[in-house]
Amino acid sequence: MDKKMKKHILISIGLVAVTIIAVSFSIYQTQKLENTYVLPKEQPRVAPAQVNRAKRAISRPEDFGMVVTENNAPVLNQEYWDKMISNKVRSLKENTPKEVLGKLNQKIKEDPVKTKEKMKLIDENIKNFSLLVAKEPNNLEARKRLKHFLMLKSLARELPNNE
Amino acid sequence: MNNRGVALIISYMVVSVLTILSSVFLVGSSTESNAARNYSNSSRAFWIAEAGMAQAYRNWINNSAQPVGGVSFGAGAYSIDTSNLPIVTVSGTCGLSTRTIQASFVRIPSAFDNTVSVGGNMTLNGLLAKVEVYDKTRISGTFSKTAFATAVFSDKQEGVSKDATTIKIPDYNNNGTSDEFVDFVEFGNLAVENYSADEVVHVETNGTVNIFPDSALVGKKIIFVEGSSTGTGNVNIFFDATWADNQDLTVISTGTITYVEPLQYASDSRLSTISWGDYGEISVFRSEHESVVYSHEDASFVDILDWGQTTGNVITNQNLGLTEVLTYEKFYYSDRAKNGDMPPGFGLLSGSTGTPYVADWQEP
Repeated sequence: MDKKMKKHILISIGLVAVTIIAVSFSIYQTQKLENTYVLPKEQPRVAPAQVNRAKRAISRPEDFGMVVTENNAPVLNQEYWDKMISNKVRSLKENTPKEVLGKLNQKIKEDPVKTKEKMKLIDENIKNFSLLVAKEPNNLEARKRLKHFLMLKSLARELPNNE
Repeated sequence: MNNRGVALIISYMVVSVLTILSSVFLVGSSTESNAARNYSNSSRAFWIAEAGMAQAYRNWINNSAQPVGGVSFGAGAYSIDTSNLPIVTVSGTCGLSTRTIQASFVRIPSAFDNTVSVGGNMTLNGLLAKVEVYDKTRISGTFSKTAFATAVFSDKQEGVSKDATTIKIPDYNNNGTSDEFVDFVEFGNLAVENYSADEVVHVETNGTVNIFPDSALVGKKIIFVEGSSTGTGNVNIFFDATWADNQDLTVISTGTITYVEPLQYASDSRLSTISWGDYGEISVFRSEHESVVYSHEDASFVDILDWGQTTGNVITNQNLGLTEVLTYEKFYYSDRAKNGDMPPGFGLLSGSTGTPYVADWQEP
């Protein structure tokens, strides 16, 4: 075998070796990436609850359609509840699928006389508790009851079939 | 031209190609083998952790000490961490794989055995008021009603121990005293932490939060409204049939909760409440819903202008009042808590007595 031939052989072997290493490495990396899902994940070494506590974020209520009022005392104002409840319920009705709203209509359908009686009852209670609250401003039970009826009136006015 | 040696070079080239091909298969086979081994180890680690959890539960109900450090099991080992009770964390290892699981060990308070549990007195007021309670009604004080009101109980007992009617908030701030406001706040935070971030809403306010059936709340498990002191962080809930079906939501408040219930007809949707302050329910139309109600103070069903029905448990540590129930209010028992289907957050209201239960299992 002459020198030239030996040189060719050595070059060939070198090329083959480099190619094998390169191809193997490439395949290994590809396989590793493809199989990542079965590789064990790193586990935290501290109790998960403690980890969560440190990073737990406070939510923005408006992101969830909530309305936050700074006042914690019962609000005894019909306009306030109309604005709060009527607007919200109207918006919900607009965004509710017809079949769901139909279900709601069906469930809520009642004798118009009965509805009128209820509305009359609510109005009477609002009148009576307003008088009582005016007479006894510190009567917390009366204030709470008045708030209930104001809320119910606002809500009842916005529900289907009860305009 | 001298062609000597060409055959040798061609042979080398053929051998090289074959070598490359065999290397490819060899490497591929090796990687798959490793992947399979890792998968196997990971699965084994999980089941070893499960075995550790079962052992930890057995130790807990038998009041036995939990093992310190790793415990050999099968092809691996598990370790139990109970430093954060009721949350128990167990890690299982096998080879290089580690899996961690977490659960809360709780005892379901006896109050969950009852449809209505009252730590104080129960009253029914109103000219035409009517209440029907099916299954157990347990009252630590007494029941009374106005002259023309009607009450139907299938199983009522008065003067029973408060252990059977009330729930104390565990000593979550570890100051040696349970049932404090700070324990309740800690409880609320733990309830939030037991779920993933996309399953909870945590609002901090000293005002009042009004909650409507918003689509962004679909799939949520916990809404925690946290005020800085008692009587703050009040909640008004306005839910109706526009709420999504198949929901299981618990609203927790450091203040009072008022549930304005026009209708709650969503199929299989549950809305439960836990409040440090009073719980109140009012309604204007025929209403029904499935829920567990827990109030650390009073609970009231007031100004119920039409037929109302609650299926679940009503638990109040103090008084239960039904006032101006113009048609009637019915209470039916639901044994979901006893059947391993505790509503979100309630698993943390455990006491030192009651039925052992594993809640909030998860792999964090």
